[in-house]
Amino acid sequence: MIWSIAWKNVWRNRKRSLIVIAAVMLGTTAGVFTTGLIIGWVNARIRAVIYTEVGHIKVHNPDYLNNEEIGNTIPQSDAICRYLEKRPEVKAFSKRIKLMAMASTSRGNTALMLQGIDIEKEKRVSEVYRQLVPGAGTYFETSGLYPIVISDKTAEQLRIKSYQLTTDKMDSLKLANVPQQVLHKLEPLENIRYNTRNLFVKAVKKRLTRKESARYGAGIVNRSEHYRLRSKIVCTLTDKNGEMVNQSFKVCGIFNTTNTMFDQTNAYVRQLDLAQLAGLGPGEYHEIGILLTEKADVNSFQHELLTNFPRISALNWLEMAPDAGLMANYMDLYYYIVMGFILFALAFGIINTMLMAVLERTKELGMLMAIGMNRKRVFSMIMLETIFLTMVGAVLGMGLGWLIIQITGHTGLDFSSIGEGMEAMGWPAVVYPEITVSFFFGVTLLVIATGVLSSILPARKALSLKPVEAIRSDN
Amino acid sequence: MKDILKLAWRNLWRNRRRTLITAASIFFAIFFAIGMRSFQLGSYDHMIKQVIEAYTGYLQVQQSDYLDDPGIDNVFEAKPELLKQLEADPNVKVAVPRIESFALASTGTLSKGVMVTGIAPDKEGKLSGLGRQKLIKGRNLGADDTGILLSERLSKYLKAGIGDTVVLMGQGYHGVSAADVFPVRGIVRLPSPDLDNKLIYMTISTASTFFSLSNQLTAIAINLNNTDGMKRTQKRLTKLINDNRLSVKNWEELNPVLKQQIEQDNKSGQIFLAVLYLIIFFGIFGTVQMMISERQHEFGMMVAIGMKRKKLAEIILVEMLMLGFLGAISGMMAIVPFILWGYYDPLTMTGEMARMYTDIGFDPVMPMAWFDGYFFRQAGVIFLMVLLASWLPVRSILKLNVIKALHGQ
Amino acid sequence: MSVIEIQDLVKIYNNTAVQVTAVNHVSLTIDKGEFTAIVGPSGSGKTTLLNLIGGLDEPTSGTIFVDHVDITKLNNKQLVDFRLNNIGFVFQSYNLIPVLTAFENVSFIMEMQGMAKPVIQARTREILTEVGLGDRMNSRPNQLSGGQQQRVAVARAMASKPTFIIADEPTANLDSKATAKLLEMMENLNRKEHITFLFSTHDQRVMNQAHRIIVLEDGKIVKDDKMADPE
Repeated sequence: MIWSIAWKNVWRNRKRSLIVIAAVMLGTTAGVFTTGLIIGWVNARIRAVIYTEVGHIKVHNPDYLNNEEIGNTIPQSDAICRYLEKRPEVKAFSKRIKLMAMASTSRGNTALMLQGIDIEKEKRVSEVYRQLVPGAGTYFETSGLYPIVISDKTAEQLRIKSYQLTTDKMDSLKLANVPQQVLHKLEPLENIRYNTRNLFVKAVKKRLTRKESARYGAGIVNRSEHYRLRSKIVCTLTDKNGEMVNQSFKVCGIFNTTNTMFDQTNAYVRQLDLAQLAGLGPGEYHEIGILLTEKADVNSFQHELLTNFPRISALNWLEMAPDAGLMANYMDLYYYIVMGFILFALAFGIINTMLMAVLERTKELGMLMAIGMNRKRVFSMIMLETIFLTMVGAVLGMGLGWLIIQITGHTGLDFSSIGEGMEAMGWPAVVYPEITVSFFFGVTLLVIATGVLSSILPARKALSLKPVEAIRSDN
Repeated sequence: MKDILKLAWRNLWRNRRRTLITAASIFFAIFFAIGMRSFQLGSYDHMIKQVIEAYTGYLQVQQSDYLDDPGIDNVFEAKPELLKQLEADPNVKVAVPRIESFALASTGTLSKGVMVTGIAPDKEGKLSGLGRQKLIKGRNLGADDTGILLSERLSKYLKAGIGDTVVLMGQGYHGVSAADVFPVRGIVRLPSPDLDNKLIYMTISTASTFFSLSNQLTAIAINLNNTDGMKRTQKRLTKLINDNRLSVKNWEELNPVLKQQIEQDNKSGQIFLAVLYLIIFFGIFGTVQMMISERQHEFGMMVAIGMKRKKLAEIILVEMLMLGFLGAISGMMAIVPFILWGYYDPLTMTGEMARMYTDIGFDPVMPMAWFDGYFFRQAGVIFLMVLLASWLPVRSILKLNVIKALHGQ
Repeated sequence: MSVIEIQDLVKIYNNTAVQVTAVNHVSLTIDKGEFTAIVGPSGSGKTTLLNLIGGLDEPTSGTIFVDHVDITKLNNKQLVDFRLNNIGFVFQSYNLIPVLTAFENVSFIMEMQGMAKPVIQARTREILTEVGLGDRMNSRPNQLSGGQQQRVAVARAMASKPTFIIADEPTANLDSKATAKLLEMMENLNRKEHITFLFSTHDQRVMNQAHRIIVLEDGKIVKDDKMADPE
């Protein structure tokens, strides 16, 4: 009965209640959406870390971590591989040779960590092969000698990537519904090669109006990317004996992940090629990347691995990518803090409203206490009314927030305008917000707690009323 | 006027609880908003100081194509008069020559990609504090020195100390390969972890020889006396140089990644504040609504006995503004000690948090910004909000129906 | 059989600078089935006396026995429970919860007492019909006239099966027609169900219906007339 009275009381002063409900709804929607955004980001980052960059666990020679010397290969690598083959938790693993090299073309140079990989095994551990730039080569599906797969960023640094409006590209632009007059304006640029994106963008912008640039610019630039595949890159590295070795590699594919730091450091070559260059023998590896099944317990597997092979170092992805790890660990805390904060801001308005609701009902409350409503019931009534008031707005807000997340989770939110800054830190520029049901439970609890705490002041006021004075008739 | 103020002030305290709660909500909003903005702006200033002021410079003179096509080929002729001309500008603190390019550093078995920076050792100190301030081991480069300075984290990685030699391999002018051996003269500590990981300093002449340049530079780095006038100074210097082949770029153009990172954080902070303010707005709106509806009878009486509706509305408006003022001023006063503390003794992160920051290349410190526009802007926002929130309810006073009011409707 | 026994009751107010003796050594007994009015001018102390009898206020000295329970010795919590189960109240106004219907206003008190749901439903219907509002059970107070509202109040007071019902100037806000109707209803209940009524009034028509009139002046009983039984 108290519940029913409390609920009905919420709607007594519709206008006043609606103001509070609107505020709570707004705050809740904002909180829910923000959380969905962050979760989407963190999940994308974690996914990238595990499935593209690092895997679940990486095995090294402990000395290799201190000193990336070529000689610090993994002890007992054969035994480890046999062990991994047998374990059901292991989905796939890949052995790698890693060497730092100086890569140069006639137009640019950069340092790269060459990863000598077993191609088929590597595909099962890392999704880099799925992130090739369309039309820019293949993942080692070539019969050439010394193929190398580099990132889009590396290609840029080595001037292998350029921007060019070839005749083919002009045709494809036409097919993509770029209007004739725009293409006409771009004709003088045809077949001219521009070394960097900025130079090309400048040239295009010069010829188009602002509106045309805004509308078609990005598409034109993206389509004009041109990679000189089969370019030669000369890699200089130090072999096992300390001798400097030069080898020319041919670019066979370009990849592009959402993590610029990862991209600009790594390049992939055939394991046999690199082993031969470096003077490494069979069974000599620097790294084993392990991908576990989704249900596997990473920590216990890591522990077991180390127990069985005490002389190695085995790090899990949390340890290897501390930024993602930190976010993953603190995520829960973070979004409850955001929500709690918003609710705290809302509490002021809720308390004021409920105080008013109590003060304008002194006679009624006095009457109720006179006819026998005890303190507990009065307190519950006020508390429930506060909770209901807050809940209505919160439920609406959660609903709206969920809806927005569903929509944006599908279409994705594009932050490309600040994308470079984000990908430089390893975070994807396009986010797909997502949210779990358990979060809504948590929010509901927080809302109830807010309602309870906000009701204290008004309820105390109600309880301090003396029935005698409250119902004193105005003669 | 004084009457209105006195009346308004007394009216506020008739319902003490409500006044205090509403003022508290404003206090909280201002306290948090200023605090958060101070942290944010303080961090940006810090990042800019550490990366831009200590290394890049607020402005750089470069060959016009260099920014869009950075590479050792896009260099320009070094003219000593140019440096003098630049330094003559009132806002230019110092202008230093630079040759910057990428190379691979190697000590036998360990290699790393590094940024080789050719400097004028005597002048560089004035820009980046190199030399006395940052040197932690060994000595600075001499005028004709053929040795190098390593940044601290780099030296740890390469395990190279004073007296060791480092091999540098790179690409010089027009594709000529560059390779040579250099002795380490000193270790420097860069405040930015990102820079500290990859810098090698050498003299301009050594760099020139290494990269096969002849009297050419990649940039002239400039630090300013007053950073607010950066863009104006940029325009002035461009005019001064008066040479199509050269252009003056500011740090936002030179380091768009940093700019974006700052922008992203800035925008997200502003959006969060907007939500907070919106919530407080509803609170204020609710309060003034309640105030007016509960005093209907009183208003009816006042208008009936002859007070002009307009004056009544003014009084209510003044009440609300005082309320906002009360909350805002107290919030502003409360945050002052925190700003002072955070400015002079900034919060330093520890443990995992700190590691995460340094891994991405940021200093794990959260300083507060000194008092500036942002401090008062928040009060301005509150002022506007109170006006806006009071608008509709106060307007209803102007339309007050005396009979209805007296009968409590 | 006495349901209310008051011995040497005193209530002194120290609120203002002046001390006010609202009830000045009053002793009084009310028996079951009485239909008694307490009358007197404003300031005579009748409201204070009723508040004391109803357990809404604490006396300065003296005792009040309701159903042989000394309510002056009960603490606040016990008093609330006692009022719930033993005393019915009808106030001059603000008797009903505005957001509840007549039916709910009556059933609500029985729910607080913890009665079984089907019992509550049946009894509420019964009582509301008895007070002549069988067809207005689902109306909210703002849809009922003043007289109808007071009848619902009486119905609610009755529903809790109290030892007696206290009514403080129940007809003060009603017109003559409604007053007559209300009084008739209350008297009916008194006669049929033997419910004890104790009310204060300064309405002559109400006094005329009372079976016993107690006159208060300056906190003292100056007259205590038992009227002739109407039957």
